[in-house]
Amino acid sequence: MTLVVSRLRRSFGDRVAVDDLSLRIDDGERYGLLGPNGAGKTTAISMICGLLRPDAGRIMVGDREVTTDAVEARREIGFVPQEIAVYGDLTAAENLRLFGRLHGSRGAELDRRVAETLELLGLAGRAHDRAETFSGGMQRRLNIGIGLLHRPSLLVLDEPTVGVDPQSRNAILDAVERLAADGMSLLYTTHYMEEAERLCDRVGILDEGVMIAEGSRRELVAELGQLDRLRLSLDRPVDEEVIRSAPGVADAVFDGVNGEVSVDDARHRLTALLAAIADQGAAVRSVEVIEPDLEAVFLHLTGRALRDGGA
Amino acid sequence: MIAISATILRRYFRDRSNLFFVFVLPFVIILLVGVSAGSSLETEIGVVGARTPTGQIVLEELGSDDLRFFDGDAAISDATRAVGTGRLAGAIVFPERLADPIEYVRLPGFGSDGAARLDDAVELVNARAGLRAVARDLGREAEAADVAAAGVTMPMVRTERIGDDLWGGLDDSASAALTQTVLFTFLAGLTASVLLVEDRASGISRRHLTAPVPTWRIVAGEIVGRLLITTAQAALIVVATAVFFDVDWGDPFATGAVVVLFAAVAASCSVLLGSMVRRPESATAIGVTAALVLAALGGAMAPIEIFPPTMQVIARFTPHFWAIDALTVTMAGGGIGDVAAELGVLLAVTAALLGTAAVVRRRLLTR
Repeated sequence: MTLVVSRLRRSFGDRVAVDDLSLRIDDGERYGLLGPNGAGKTTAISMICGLLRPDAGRIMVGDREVTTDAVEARREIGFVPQEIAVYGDLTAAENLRLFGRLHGSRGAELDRRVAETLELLGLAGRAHDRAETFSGGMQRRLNIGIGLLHRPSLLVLDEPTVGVDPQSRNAILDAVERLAADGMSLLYTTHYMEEAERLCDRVGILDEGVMIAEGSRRELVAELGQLDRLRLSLDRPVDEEVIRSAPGVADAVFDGVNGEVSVDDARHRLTALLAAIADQGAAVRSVEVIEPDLEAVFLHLTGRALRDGGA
Repeated sequence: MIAISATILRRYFRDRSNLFFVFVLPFVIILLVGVSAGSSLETEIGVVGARTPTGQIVLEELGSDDLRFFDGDAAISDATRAVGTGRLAGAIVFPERLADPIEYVRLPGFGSDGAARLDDAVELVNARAGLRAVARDLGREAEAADVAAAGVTMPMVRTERIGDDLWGGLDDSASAALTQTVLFTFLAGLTASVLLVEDRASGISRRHLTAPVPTWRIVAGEIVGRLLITTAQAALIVVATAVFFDVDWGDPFATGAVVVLFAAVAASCSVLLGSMVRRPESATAIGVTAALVLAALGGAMAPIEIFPPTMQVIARFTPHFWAIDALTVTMAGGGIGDVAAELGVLLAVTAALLGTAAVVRRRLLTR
């Protein structure tokens, strides 16, 4: 299911929360919407899910226009909100059954989907326990389960790992990866860059309601002219000039046996570089590849760090 | 819509404190009222005309415990005033002539123990020898002749009530059942508003909107869920008091119409309160306070007949007044035509509140 967002705009009083936002997510694509708190991510996905009416712009989910045909468009969307929006006084199965019924599932089909979802999220053993007795991580998983129970074409996750322990975060990311592998399109908002890098094919970076960059991680890094770095430790000194002349190497600085080499693509250039070092009779004791990340991209674009970007 | 309504019911009745309020407390109160039926705090009975022939005969059987005697020209008005101000449970007025009935004065709904005690004494007089024989035994040939001439075989007790009948003259169990139905139906509705506040705070209300269901159906589900709670509460008290306390609710259609309309008023107020308050604790505090205050103002805690005139006017601005008024009529044997005016008022209140609740709720969800 393709999502096409065109020139979306929404204000709250004088404050423009989302300004002229356009993006496209193709069938089966995993798209990350990144930005600090208050960047406009939640406002954007609230409009995409039909929860908030835009001041201007157009949202198409497949061939459905969200603003004019919200009910039908919602059939294709699964929404996982940032907050844990589950009934604590209902069991996991009861929570899933309720939202399954709201999405039109009934009888044996509903039973099967509830069982599958509980299994997928590792909650089958706690199906009949009240959600309020779950750990935070388990509640997060149930929160996700409600969003994907009806097998949506597009799953929208709004910072689904906020406030969970590393183990639960891994479990959640694993589940999301499995869903993506099954061909479900993903729109994933986060301010954790490592999650976006792990899950998403492409990312859009939102700041103060404006999309300031979009592309794959490598494209964004390349666009900014940022290079990969190789931190090397050798058994004997080498000639820096020879290293600099190796293919793809932009710079090399050595201090005795330790040095750092800047290259355009570390993973591709590493073999040739190691050969050039070996040609000088030196052996590599250790090598560390440092790739510029999205955090660096965001810092470069806004001059601010992502996680303390402020609201 | 049904899924949301069913979930509201399930959650409400899963809470133990709600179970206590719905299934236990109303019946404890009705039971306590029933047990204390006819009693009043004041047990002393006033006696006027103790030296009359009837007085002498009957007082011999009645004994002198808890009696206060009144003499003089103003004896009747003094005794009546003492009853009216609650200083006496009731007052017996013995006539000068044996053939005339004995008067027993009491406030409606209070002091019936004294009347029963007086009835017993009169019966004993009659059982002993008959009034004429007793008069002869006492050497009162003239009175005995009067009794014979009047054809009176036993003294009569006529009970006079001061003021209007309380709760339409219903007995204590019936009036308790009626008032507790109204009080607890409204209370159940307002306490159910907490769930709505919790849903909003947790983001569940917003999440409902991501389902492919029109917003009006979600709002309808929320209202119907609360209507089921309030109707269940009312129906439970009506049926249980009919079965276990032998309360006659009268015409089931008329009673049903009043109960359902009042339950709808309570459900609408529940959704309104749940939409306007942000914290669950606030909803509980405001809900319980409002339910008790409206019940008191509307006559569900004390009979409206004893309210000062201004409060009686204020009572008419509460739905409780109209529900109690209508149910009093149906319990006294009235049909749906007899409560048409009350049903009309309740219908208008329901329509206004329901419409407001739906609009407010929808606006809150979609803004």
